[in-house]
Amino acid sequence: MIRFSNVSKQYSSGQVALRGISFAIQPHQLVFLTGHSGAGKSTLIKLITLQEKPTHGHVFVNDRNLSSLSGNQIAYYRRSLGVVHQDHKLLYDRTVSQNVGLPLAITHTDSRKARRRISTALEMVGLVGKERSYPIHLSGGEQQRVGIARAIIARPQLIIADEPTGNLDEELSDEIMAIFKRLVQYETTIIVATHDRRHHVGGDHAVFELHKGILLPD
Amino acid sequence: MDMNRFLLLQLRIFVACLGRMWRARLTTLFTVSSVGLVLSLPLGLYFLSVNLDSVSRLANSTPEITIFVSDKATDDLVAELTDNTRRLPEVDQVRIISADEALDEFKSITGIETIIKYVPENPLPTVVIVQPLEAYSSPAEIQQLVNTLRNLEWVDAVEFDLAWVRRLHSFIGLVNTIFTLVSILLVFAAVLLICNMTRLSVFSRQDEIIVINQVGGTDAFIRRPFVYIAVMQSLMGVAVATAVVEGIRLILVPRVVQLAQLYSSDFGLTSMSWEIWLTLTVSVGAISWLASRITVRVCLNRLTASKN
Repeated sequence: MIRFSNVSKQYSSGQVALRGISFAIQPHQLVFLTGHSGAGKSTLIKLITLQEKPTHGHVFVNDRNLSSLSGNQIAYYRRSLGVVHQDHKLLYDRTVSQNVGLPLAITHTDSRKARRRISTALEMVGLVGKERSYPIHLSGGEQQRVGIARAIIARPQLIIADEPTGNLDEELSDEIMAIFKRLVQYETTIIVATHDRRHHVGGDHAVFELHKGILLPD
Repeated sequence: MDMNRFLLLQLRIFVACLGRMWRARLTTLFTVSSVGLVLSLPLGLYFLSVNLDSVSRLANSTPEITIFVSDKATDDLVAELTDNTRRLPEVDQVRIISADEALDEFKSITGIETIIKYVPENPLPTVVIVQPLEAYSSPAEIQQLVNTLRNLEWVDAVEFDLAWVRRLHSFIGLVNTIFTLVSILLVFAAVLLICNMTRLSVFSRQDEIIVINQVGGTDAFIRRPFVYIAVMQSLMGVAVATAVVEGIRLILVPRVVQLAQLYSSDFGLTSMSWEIWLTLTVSVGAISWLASRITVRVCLNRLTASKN
């Protein structure tokens, strides 16, 4: 599904974020990406979402070299991903429904079909009845669930979450993680970047640990 | 994508843009008013230029060339000269004023009948008045006709005051050139205004653009609403400019008619033709479409470019 081949990333400031990383993630796997702040977790995720490009090496998703994508190909590739951000990245002048339905609006999905899928997504994250609310009126945990609903609505093969529980308390963090663990059942590959070790102890999932841009052995 | 779906999509974006403009109605009002006022200046200058042309045509509508016939020419020869003149392609009308008719007219105008009685013979020549066709009324064409007439047999002299026609044409030419240059600058200013508004609009929605970009929105998807709004605001600006110029015309019409009547003229202010209105609307729409597309593309590249 995902393959990193000797990937390094150095920013224009000179900071080296990743150093010769190589690994592979199989389909329908839940993977925790851990490490301290500055270890390179976010950079690794940005390489998969094509917000950044590697300085050396190649990133492959479904055997496609991401470096070869350009223009609209990048947009079409991003439609196959579901991304959850630590700061939710919601549109505060739009309702929950409109935020969740954004990926469907982009693909001009029929409105009746879109409404059905929005309901299903909100049901999966436990936000039924909040369709017409504005994000500003929701709690942090609820806002994050809106972000998750938006990430899953287009039924992507790959969901990437960058510190999805970073701003939440312990109880809400557990709820959000429970949602991700449930989503693996829908034949989805999920990568969760987190520095919270509680979430990846035990269970049937892989853990990749980064330290100063280097992938530590298992 | 089939045509129906494409049109439906465009309609949806159009309605969404109307909604967005309505929600920001104060900004829309200011933008449309600014564009309208900027556009009303070139439109007003064009309106002035058209009416100045009408005044010049009116002043120059019956240019007459006077041929003084040789006193040796008999009536038959004068008739032959008149026929030859009438056959020239540039000539519209020809009439003869015989020496006797000229003397009678002179007497009636000057009132010096008694003095004329003592003059042994009529000193005035037979005159042929030539009126050129309107299509040949430029100074160069009239000069050419005057030269042709001078070469005809039994012509003593040909008179036409070309100097003032030349002065009028050259003045109008200068004014029109100035109007054209100023108009181009003002249309350019209106386009820059739209570009700047589009740029500000893109940057004020940069969070939304980044989110849409990250969930797979293409540049065209992001760009479309901004371009639609820019074109719609420009077209509304054209409507405002038309209303301003037409309003000013309506205010001026009674005063201009009153002034024209004092000069025994039926001159009235010409309103803007629909062809000109259509040309302006299409040009402004097309220019703002192109300019806003380029502006949005530049802004998007800055906002969403992947870093290597």
